[in-house]
Amino acid sequence: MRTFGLYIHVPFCMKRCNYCNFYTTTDTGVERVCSYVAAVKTAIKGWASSWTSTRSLATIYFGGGTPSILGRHLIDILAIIREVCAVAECAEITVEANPASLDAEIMQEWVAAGINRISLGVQSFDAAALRTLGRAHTVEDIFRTVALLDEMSAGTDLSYALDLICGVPGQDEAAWRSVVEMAIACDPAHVSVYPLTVEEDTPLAAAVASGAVEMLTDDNIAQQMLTARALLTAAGYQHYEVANYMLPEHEGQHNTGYWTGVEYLGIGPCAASMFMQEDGSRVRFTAHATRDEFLADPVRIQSTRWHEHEVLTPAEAMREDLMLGMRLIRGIRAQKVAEANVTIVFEQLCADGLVRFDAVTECFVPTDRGWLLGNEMYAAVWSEGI
Amino acid sequence: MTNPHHIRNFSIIAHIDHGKSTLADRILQLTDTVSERDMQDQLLDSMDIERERGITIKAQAVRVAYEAEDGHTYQLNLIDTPGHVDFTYEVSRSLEACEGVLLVVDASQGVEAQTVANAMMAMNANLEIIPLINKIDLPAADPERVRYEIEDGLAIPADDAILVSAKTGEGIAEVLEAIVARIPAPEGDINAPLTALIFDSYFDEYRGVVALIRVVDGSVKKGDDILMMATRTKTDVEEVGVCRPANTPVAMLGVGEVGYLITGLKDPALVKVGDTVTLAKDGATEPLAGYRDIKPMVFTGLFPLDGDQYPDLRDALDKLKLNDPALIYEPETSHALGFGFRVGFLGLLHMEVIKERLEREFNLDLLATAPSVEYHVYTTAGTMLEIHSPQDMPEPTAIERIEEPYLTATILVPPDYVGAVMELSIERRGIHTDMQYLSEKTVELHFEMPLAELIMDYFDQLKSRTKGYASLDYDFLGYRASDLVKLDVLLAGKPVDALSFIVHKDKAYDRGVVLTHKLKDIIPQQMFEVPIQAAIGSRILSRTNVRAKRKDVLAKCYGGDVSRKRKLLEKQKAGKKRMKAIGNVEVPQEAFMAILKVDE
Repeated sequence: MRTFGLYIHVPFCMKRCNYCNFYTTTDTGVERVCSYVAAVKTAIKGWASSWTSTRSLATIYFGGGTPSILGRHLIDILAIIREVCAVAECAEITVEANPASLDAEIMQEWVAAGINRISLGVQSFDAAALRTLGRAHTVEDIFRTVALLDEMSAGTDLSYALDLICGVPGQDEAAWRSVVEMAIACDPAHVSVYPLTVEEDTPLAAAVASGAVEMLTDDNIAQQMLTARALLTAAGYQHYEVANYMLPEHEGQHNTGYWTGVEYLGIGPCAASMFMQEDGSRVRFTAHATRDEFLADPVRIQSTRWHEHEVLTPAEAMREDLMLGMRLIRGIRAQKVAEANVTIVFEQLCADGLVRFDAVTECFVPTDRGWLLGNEMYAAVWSEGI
Repeated sequence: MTNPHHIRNFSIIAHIDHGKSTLADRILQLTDTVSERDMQDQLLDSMDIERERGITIKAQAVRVAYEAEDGHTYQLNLIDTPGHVDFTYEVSRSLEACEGVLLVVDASQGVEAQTVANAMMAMNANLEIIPLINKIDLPAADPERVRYEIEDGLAIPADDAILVSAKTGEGIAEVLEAIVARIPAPEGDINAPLTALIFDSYFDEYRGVVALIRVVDGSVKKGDDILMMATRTKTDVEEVGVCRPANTPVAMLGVGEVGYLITGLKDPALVKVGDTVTLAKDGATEPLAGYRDIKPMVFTGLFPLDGDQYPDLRDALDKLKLNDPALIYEPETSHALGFGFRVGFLGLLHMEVIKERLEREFNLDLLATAPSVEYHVYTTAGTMLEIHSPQDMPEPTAIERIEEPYLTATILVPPDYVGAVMELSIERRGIHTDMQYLSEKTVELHFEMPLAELIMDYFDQLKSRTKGYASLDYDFLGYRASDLVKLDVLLAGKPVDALSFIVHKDKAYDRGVVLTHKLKDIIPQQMFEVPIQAAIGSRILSRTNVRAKRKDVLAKCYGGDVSRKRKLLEKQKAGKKRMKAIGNVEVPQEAFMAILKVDE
């Protein structure tokens, strides 16, 4: 039976960060939260039959926003999911959390309910960087939360991941090095490293436009990405995707699904879903654009009512798989490339030094240059020769 | 045919934006030439570009019937002339068809360089000049100062200058009376052989070339066999008529009358502005004075971004030339840009207008190289070559000397900015010849200057260094020897012919340094390092590097990001299509114009 991933968007935050343009609100009043949770439950019940009749549910991911705000509501939602879906026995169940938003009591209840992965939005261990980013937590909050997670994971299958942001304005190479070293010292099972990007309509974008904040150069950011990789791999982490590192056997299964063609159902405003049709074509859609839309009509089965959707032809879907597959450090099997009829594109990428052929695994894999110049590679794989 | 006593032929001359087209609109309205229903602003400017830019490119002639206070009905012919220095020759021919002009001066802006140039032209043609001080409804209007500037600066009596507001219509009735009272009636001999001046022409898809003419002596009617004296073209007259403002056939055009003439000729090159029309049999022996072949002054390479559009570009140029005989072009091949045309223009505005029309009316994506002038290159072999493109320049060893076109530039500016204008003009190899105060607020400066320097954003610089106060006019002076060299630009070690330009030897180093730095900012980072060099022959003057791109990756790509980011990649790819790949370097269009902006 095929598997699918379930993503539940939680659009609530205590405070909006300077760089964030995700769909979220800081209005976390009880009524608002409860009505949202009710709509999520309705949506899951509404969608379940059409998805689970042919698929088992392998991963569940509560993202945001700040899903940890939902506290015990998450347990209720999981109960509903288990009621209506065939949840795989060893399903990965992730909750994104901010440091300082967790306590031992709720953690125990979550673990008991089957939550086995916490993705902690640390972003930095550098107090100045946290201020620049407008994060609500302090370095001490991180250490306290990590200690709690260590305690909780002893004797359970709970693991945790840390997110870091590099390229923070004002942060030099030495400061970044110690951020990565502190992350390693926390001993998480998984680390993500994202360069800071300036999104439209954020305080950061305004500060950059006014000249109050100066972004690091791409050269500096590239250097920080290389530094992070050197330190993390030396500490035993495997670099497996553009921004992701894992201890052996601890890859983020839900996210890996996005790059390997696994279908997913997204619940909540701005959450995307993807499924394959029998002819090999691919549908990707976002049913609701706003929370009000979602509250008014949580289940939108009819495609005519979706906020946006696209249909990729089977050939386009294959290209997309190759494009996303090249995000993975292990690359793409040459046979898949041949099936999509784009071997010539990959040969050109090899000539450009972005890709190399690994004779042992019979895969085309991104080179270091290809990793850092990914867009050149993805653009070629997606559209060259079309 | 109207008795010449009751004909008045006049033109309106003005600096750009001083209200010429609005005044023409008012005259047409007040004489009921155009019904309220058909009235639209800038009626005589029929092209979109003319309306948008507020300029007149093609001349027009409208006949208006006006019942004057003396009880007679007069035939007024309003000849609307182009108002820009690029079209000086056309203006002079239009003025030749008149007995008088309305000189429009903005009541707050005052006399400007073009006002002076046009007024001089009118004086040289011995025309009656009626000064109008326009826009008196504006709060900043200062008619007394402007009156003083007209008298003192232009030596035109301005006691009886008419105060008008073309916008509100105030004073327009007075203007019509002044036209009748002050502009002389045309003089001519109805019994002499036909002489008529062609002062403009245009191409009509169905009728062929339509000539706008002013009859000096004799008369012309349908069926006459006629001769164009300069081109020696014989043909017969299919139709004569007048514009009211729609074309209306008439039986005959007689002495002093203005109208159109259709012959069925399809080739605009045979119907030249300034030529004289006479009868094929027993016609005039002497043409009217003043005909000359107009020559383009500014040249640029136009290349389609998409090589497949080359035939479309040729068709489009052919079509535009039908209405614009001054446009010349020949195929040009560039190693960097492929097939295109080297196109000659009367001036920079003419160039901009044509490029815009090609892109807009013919849907072409064009890349223009930096404009150049016509150099006269005297070779050691004793020949003279007319060089329009830097890439045609012979090897230095084969050159005996190079001559370049010089102009007299006339600049009007408030006294505070004289220093800035001096500095800029001398930087641009200008030779200051004289200066005079037109009034306390306006100084007139003259420079002799190479045209090549003037087309290098001189006007933009002039405007910015004088806070917009300076106005400029220029006149061709002649060819002079200069110490010139060809400067080449190399990208990734390979010379790019389309980036070469010709420069004075003393300035070559500075221009080379500035240009390589400018290109470094314009050319985006590529996957490899791109050295940029400026060189004369094999001697490298300066070098910069576009560093290789090190990081360009969408690091976060989950769920809904996939479609969004895939679309971003598609957009980036489309952006690249707007660039020209030279070798494997992607070069944006603005790089080819960078040389014009060396002072920024």
